Amino acid sequence: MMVARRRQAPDARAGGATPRGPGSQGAPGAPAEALAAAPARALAAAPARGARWIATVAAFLVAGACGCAARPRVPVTLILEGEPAVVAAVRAQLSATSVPQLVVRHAALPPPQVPALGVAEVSAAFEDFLAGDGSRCRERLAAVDLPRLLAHRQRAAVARALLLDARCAEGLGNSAAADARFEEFASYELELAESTGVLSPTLRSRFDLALAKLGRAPRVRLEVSGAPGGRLWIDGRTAACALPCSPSLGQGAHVLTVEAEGFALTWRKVLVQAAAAVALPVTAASAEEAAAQWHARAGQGFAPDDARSLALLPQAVKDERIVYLRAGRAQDGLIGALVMRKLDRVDVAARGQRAQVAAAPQLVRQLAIDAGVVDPPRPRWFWPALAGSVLASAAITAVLLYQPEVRTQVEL
Amino acid sequence: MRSAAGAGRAGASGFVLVVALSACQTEHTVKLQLGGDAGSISQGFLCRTETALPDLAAGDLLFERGHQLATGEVSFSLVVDVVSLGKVLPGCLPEEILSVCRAGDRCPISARACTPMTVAGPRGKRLVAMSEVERLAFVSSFAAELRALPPLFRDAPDGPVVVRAVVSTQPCEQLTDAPRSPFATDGLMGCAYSCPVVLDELDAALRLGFATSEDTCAPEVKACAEYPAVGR
Repeated sequence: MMVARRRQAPDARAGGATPRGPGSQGAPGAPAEALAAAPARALAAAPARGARWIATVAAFLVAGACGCAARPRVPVTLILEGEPAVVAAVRAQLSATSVPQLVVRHAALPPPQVPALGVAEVSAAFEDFLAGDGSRCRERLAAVDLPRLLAHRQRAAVARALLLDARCAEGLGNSAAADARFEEFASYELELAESTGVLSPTLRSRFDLALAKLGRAPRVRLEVSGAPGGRLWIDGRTAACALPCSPSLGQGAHVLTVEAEGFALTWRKVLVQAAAAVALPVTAASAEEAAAQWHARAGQGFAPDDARSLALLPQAVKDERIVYLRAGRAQDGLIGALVMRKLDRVDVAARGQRAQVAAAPQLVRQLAIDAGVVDPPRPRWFWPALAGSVLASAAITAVLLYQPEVRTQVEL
Repeated sequence: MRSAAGAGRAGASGFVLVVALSACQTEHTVKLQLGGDAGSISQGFLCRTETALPDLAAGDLLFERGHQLATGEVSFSLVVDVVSLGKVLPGCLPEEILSVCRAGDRCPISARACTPMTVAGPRGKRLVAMSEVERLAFVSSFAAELRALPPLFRDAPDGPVVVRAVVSTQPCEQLTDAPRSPFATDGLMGCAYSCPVVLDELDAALRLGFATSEDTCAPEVKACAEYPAVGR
């Protein structure tokens, strides 16, 4: 009686895959505790788990590939100094890409230049004086920047110019101008030397009077500030103090000059009457000025690769990373240093030397490694080990995250 | 060097393992249970009509619609629907399920299986007139026949779903050709449904039930046949 027949197999259609969530076996008519076993739960609205898993593995592989990828070359500027023949040989070895991981750019320091200060104008004015052309004499001297001459320590030229101008002014009947020049001369405390030969006996007595008058004047103290640590020069003579400092000066006109490495030479003419504070401008040196300072230090006997000289090089060639190589004679080998500028600070980051001139590329690379500009060479096993580690990490992550596709069969 | 080579080999092996894993697939079976236990069926399949209908007298079981008095056979189509609930697994309260279905794609039927069945019943008398022994035998036979059916779905939909079983006089051809069309009300014989589940993660049998304690539950059967695909 209770026989049942199947007439046909079930007809089924199934939808696509969607994220899984915890299930419940309770039916709508089930007891309360069974219903409570089905809390509302949000599933991640992310791609299917397979896609998520593949994305994770791919991310690992991409990260590994990026880590193993060759890094870009780091640019450095190379300054070569020394024997021309040796320098040429070294230069030939150091092409732009001859040093691994570096791009080498050759640069040369601008040659020192003698500024046109107007000394020739003073000589020409003297010729005009001898020719009896007082007006022309004064015109020429008016074009000379005497404070600038003093700032460049041309005291003799200034002394000559002032006395010559006084003599020409007197010749033109302008005694006041002549006396003003005497006062200025006295104020600068210039040396007499041969310059006084242009003065007539009358003028000489007035000149002596001016000197005597200034000698009686009280001295006052100035508070001078400017480039920190800069050397102060007063009227072309050293004040033997580093800024900020407080020199004592006689009343009258003075030219204050500050000289500091890495900064432009700055000067200012002041008329001192009483104690006061004077601030001189602080200006970074131009490339030409920095190069001139570097040459000046070498001319004063300082080693061209001492720390203070090297610190001028980034300014002189306007770059952040400088490799300085000094090549003496071929048998002397190479001495090198790498200088780096970071913000306002310049450091000698590495020094080195090689006995053979032919080892210039190796020296440059070693300097770059020591300075931390490029990575040291990896041992031969490094890259295989890194690649293996990345793959192993990817595999472990993938296994931990792996959720196999579930194929669920439903039956009665 | 040896350790580097070892690390490289380990990494490569791991990678091969990963690739191999990606080809894996696990098999999983969920058994549907249309009643409180394996030997019974839900009240949703034993509902009676309170009032007389064109094809039924007042008090008749809805199953009477498929009953041939002359032969005693009860013929019907068993339709099992898998209704997707989107990405959210709601609670089992109807209003929780309906709130999910009112948003998004409105709970489409992702899979449907239809099985024509015939169960032997009492000959010459109506089902409602079965004695208690006949009734138990009928239910037991129905449940046994259900268990003998082949699998309904080989790869059921993933994600949160509600499984619903509807018994109807409509032929399977009609019901599978247009799975989104509503069941004919005058052909409904019974209905039950599950709480929301994720079939891939279900380790126990999935029980389908019916939220009523009354015998006269024809209106609830109609609601069940429409539930939860409110947006059809």
